[in-house]
Amino acid sequence: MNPDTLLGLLGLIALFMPVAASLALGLPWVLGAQLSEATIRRTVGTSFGASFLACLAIDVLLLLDPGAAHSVTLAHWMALPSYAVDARVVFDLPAAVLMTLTALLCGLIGAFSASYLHQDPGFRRFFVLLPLFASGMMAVACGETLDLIYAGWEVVGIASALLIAYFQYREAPVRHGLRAFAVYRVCDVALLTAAVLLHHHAGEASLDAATAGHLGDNEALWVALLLVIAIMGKAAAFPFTGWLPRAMEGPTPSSAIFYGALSVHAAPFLLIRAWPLLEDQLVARGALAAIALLTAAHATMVGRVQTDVKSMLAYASVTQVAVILVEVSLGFTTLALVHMTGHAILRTWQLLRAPSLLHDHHELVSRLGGGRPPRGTLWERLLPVPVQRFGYRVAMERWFVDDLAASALLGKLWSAFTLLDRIDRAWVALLSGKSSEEAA
Amino acid sequence: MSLDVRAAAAALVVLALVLARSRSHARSRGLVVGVGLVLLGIALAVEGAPDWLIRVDPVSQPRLIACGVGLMAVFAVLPRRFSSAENVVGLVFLALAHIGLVVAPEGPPVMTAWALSCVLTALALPKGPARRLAIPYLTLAAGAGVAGLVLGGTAGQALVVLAVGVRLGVFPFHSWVVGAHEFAPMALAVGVTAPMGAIGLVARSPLGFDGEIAVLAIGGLAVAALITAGLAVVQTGLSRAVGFLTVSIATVVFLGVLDADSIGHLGGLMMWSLTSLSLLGMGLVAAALQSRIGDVDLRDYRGLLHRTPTFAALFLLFSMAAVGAPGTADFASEDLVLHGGIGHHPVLLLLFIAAISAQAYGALHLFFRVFFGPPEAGFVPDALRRERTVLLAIAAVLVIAGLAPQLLLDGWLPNTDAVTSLVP
Repeated sequence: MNPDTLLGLLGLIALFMPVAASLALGLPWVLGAQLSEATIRRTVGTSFGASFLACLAIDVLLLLDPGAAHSVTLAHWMALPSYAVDARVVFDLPAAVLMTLTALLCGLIGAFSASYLHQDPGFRRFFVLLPLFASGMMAVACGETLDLIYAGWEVVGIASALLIAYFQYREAPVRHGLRAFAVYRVCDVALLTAAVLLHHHAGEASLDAATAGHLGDNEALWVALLLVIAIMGKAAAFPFTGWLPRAMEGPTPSSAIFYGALSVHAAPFLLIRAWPLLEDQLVARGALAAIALLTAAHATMVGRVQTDVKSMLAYASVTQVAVILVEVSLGFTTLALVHMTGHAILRTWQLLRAPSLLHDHHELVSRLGGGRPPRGTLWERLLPVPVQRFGYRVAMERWFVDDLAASALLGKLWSAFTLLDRIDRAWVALLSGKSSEEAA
Repeated sequence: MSLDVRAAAAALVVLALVLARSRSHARSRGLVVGVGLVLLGIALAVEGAPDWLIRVDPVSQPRLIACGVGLMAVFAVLPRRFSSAENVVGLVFLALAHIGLVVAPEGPPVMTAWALSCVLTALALPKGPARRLAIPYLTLAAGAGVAGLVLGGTAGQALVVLAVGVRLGVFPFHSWVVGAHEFAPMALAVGVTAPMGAIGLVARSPLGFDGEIAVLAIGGLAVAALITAGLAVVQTGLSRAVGFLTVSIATVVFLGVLDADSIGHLGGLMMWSLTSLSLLGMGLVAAALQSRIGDVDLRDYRGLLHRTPTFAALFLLFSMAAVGAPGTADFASEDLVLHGGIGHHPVLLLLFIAAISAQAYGALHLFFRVFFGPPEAGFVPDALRRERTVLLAIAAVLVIAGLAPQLLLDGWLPNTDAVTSLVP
């Protein structure tokens, strides 16, 4: 069999097995049928198992031909006489790394969650959304064109918002889910605009050097800048950092997979994939480095004053992702890929262990003979006390970014729309002779 | 039309008839199903009819099928408390208003059809605040539409766009459509807006995005969609929130259909038919909830997921489909619109994308408000068998067309050249 045909087949299995699991669990839901936890566990386990094996096979095929990038058309999605969109994927080192990581970690999280969420009312909902998320990540990982990547990007965003709001009977997770979705949507505007601009100016939305060659100077700069803006949401880059620690309201396994392992790394991954478009754009790379450095400084400072382990881990994740973005901006894409992989695995482990932190700490202390390990010196103590206090206050308030956004932008928008609504209700009452309150 | 589409349409007719048989109110039900069948019959059988008599072409054919099937779907799902003779006649009026417009030949017939469709829409609304509110707007729409068709030229075209905008409820002419959602039964309100029949007036004569006035008009529409999406978020009741969201989505569809670029225009036409389906599904779920617990108060999270998981899943699917989420049919049509003429205007493009992004936020916000939160106290029945069957059929069409839009392009719109050739 032709290697490209085989790769295409394996890619289909890797991409669509999670979709199939999601459909297999979601369809009985809308049909009103009940499924046992064992059935759900087996379905998800089988799909991730098959997906992981397919990814491993892809890895082996790529190892036989190192350095090669295989472009495969999975399907002709839409074809008109003058316009066509194909579901085109590319199998190369970055794709193989993220696909394998996705299948492996999602499979592990699935196995972990089967016990963690045992008897939880939202058990099935979680297992419908987890494979959906995995399929979105797979599309981001192997998508050759920005069209397919955008589709996967969107699926990841929707699944993310729904899983943050998993404990939906409490108000806070629901609000935080919406907050995350709002940030995603703002940044997705840039991604979709970049995709359309690529189509219009280069004739297609591939992220390769050939496409970059078709763009004029201005267009190339705009596309690069739009891509930088697009990744700011998923990467929780400054000033969009606030949603990520709040997203930890979701179940621990989904926090681990989204905000420790995969979702946050989709951001640097997209830039690694789009490197041919970024390479010559020094302004965009400079902007990326500046944003990443600011994010790292912000997340480090704020993370140090957090009082719960999940928030600390969230800010630690943001810091590391920001460092990876700096690496990308400097052109160290392979280093960024290695850093990303190591960070994803470490952070998943840390987040999954987070609920057992006290137990782990007590065990450590007991093994050390009952004494507390010595604490290191904090560099902040070298600063004058008023500066320390000011810094502490600023860090506690997360640099006042969220408050500023709420009062200066969101609050004003809300007031404007509420006022508009009141005017509309008055107008309706005048014309119809009946107010909304009477109608209710 | 290909055989497989005929078979699918026939299967849907049989399904609707079977479902209809399980309902009470036999006479009114029979009337609606009968009208639905006639519409389907026109779409399937009168393919070669002369243009001066009736226009059954790639623009009107999908609308006829969507309207026929939609009408039967509405009635199969329509809650018993909304199945009064007045409401049923209203639904039939709405269907006739819509259909008359898309099949009327050019010239005086289309003017008559436009004026008549405004009158029928007003008559379809129940007497009282909904109709009182609608009459001034519909009068304006009828006058502007007829005047625009008579005048012709740039001024005429502007008047036609204004007329269609008023009929669709484009901001700032939205009050009557939102009022219909608020004061009339939701199922009827869905009939007013979901089919977006008024677009039929411009479907064959897109405006194009060239020239300052056109760009200004298109930019205005995108801003209007953005504003109504924002207004949907601040609502305190489900019916008004659905009304605003529907208006916002209809505005985007209108914008797509106005594109004179062949790809963009085809996308707009596809969006017109498919968004009708997703809005129909979303509206029907809202109507089913309204029939169970009245207008859902959104000042607090209502927590209906616990009681109505099927409705929750379907509402999420329909609302996400309506805003063009990946894997649903509107994603494909949105893609075509974006790659049409609008892509040549960076500012318009940005406004358009911002509008659809705001709509997605509005849709998810609405879903969270209605279905998430502390569990609703008291018994709220989930989807009945007939409701589930019809809604699932709509959902299946949206998902299949989203994953494989070529099926639609090959089958439902068999002659894409014929569609694109409509563009001057």
